[in-house]
Amino acid sequence: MNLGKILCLLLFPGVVHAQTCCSGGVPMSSNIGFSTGEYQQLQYGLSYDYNRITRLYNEKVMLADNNRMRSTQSYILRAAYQWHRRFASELFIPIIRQARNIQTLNNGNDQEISLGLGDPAVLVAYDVFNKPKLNWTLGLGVRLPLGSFSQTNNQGLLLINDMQPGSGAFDLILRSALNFPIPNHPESILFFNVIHTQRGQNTRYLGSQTYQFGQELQLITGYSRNVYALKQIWPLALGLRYRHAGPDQLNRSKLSNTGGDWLFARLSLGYSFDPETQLQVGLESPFYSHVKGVQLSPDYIFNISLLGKIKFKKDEF
Amino acid sequence: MNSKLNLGSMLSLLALMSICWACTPKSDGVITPPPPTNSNPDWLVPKNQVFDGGPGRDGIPSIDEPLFTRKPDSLGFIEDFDLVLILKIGEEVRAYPHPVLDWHEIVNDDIDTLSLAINYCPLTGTGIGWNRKINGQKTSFGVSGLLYNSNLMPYDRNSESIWSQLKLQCVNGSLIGRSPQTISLIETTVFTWRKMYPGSKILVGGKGRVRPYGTYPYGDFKVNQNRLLFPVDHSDDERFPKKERLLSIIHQQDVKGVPFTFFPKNGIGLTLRTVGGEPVVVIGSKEYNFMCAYFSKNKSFEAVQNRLPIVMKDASNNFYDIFGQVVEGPEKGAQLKSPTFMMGYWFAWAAFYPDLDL
Repeated sequence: MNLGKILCLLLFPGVVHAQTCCSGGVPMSSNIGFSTGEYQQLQYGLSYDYNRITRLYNEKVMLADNNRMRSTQSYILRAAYQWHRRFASELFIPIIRQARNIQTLNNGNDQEISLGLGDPAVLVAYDVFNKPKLNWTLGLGVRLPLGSFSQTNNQGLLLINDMQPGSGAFDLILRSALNFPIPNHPESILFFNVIHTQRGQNTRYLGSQTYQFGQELQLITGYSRNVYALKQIWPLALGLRYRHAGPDQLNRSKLSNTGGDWLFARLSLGYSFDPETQLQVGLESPFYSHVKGVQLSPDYIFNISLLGKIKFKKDEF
Repeated sequence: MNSKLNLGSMLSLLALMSICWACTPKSDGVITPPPPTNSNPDWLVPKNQVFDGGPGRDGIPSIDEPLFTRKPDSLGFIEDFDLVLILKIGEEVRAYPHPVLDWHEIVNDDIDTLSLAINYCPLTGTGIGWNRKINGQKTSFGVSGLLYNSNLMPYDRNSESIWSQLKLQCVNGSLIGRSPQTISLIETTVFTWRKMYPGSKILVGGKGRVRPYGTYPYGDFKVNQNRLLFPVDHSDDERFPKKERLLSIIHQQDVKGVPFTFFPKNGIGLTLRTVGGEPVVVIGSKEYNFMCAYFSKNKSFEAVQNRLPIVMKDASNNFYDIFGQVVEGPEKGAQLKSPTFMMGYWFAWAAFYPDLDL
């Protein structure tokens, strides 16, 4: 199996951008992006992400206050079809469950939950190089504002926008995925990925206001290799992810306490049921967090994905 | 043509069309709330104009075990120009500074035999005390995380009813329709508070849940006249800039607004109003940055200069402090009653009391 493909399958499913109070948006942008597959091949994935957010930060300092927990669970169906030797298209459909738990000061527990269709995305990927020693893919896509953003709390009141499954805005997604084997170690791959999400405006926020989540840049790098153990191949990847989120804007004015910079460490492990089907498990945790103002920041992100591929037409030799 | 190729091409075409759509410029929004859509009997305000502010119930933590100091200089976050809310119960004067209130919004405090909640909304700039004894039972108030007209909605922890600070009413829950017993607070600067009551106590926080008090949490909200974070009614009322601070006096369903422009540039001034059919004297100072109001009982007053905390005297040579208490003169110890009054941003008064007289 093409190591580049294994790598991309490994890397992309579990990397979820942090969802912070007031600045998170919908957690899916770094899930986007299969590798360019083989011609007339369908790749598919079913993923579950759990993003737990309880740490309250003031800039770089964690505050002694942990009565709040935010969590985002994402159930994501993805499919990519290689319709040209260099081009593929990808569809991404998330179901998002957002939860906000607060231990109230009279020792009660206040919980709000939203569940609904998130914003689906469509992308086109172009394979710039697909050589054994270099694989470079560029992607361009858009996230469509088809997700729900009118969810209400248990009193029937409209929830704030970062508790909504959808954003109500079109987002533009740009990505570059580069990977190549380490010389003399063909089983070991280095990867460098960049994902930029240009956030659009929701012009229907709270009636007729304009809300725009912060522009987002993610840089992902790491190392992967196949480990042979127990008569099995275990794809293993270690990586770092840097995420920068700009401030959200309300009616074109920047909002305090939104945006920031995070550096995550990530470990993922795969298991192959057969050459076409894999299970991937990943865990990611920030070791550097610098939020703007005071915000909740992620504790960890867990991901599990079932990934597979179907070839519709046999290779012609 | 291959059908799978068609699927891929269609997806790509959809992506490109969507990108073009996404790049189309959007028009600016306005900041009025949606029209009220129902008369839900469970709510005394339009339910569709009550918004989740984000942090959730108690996500903004009230201070339930307040800590005070008489020497705030060492803290580093209390400056002379900061605003404080001050009150006097018996001989005790306490100050509640905005830099702390901005992060907690509610302080559940006890002074002598009085249990009160200081409710302060940083988005409307309004602060007032509420008696915490309701139906003979002591309760505490917390921040519900909800906003109506961009204004704080406290909840009481005994009944979990939701109240509107500026509507001065419980608007949802088992206490619906009930009005709080108010204790008016005087808003002024740390400088003026120090000058009037040196050595009195000032709130410095509470046990646990410390916040960065030297940092204002809402960016340029206080000074940006056009900026609102949530929809409000009558946001197009431009009689004053949105963030201009006015005193509003509320009595018997009547509301009068008093801007600082009624007072001289230097020293202390008085102006008279009739609110709810009763005469009220309003004392104010641009220089010392305060306004407050008392029922005058048809007495005549004149301002007293350079003797803070004494601010006025009557024809019988009774000298009154800023809290309306006679501190010198034949009626020493007597106390003028006060209507409910609060300082607040103009947009908030226009939203809640669009018919208020100026």
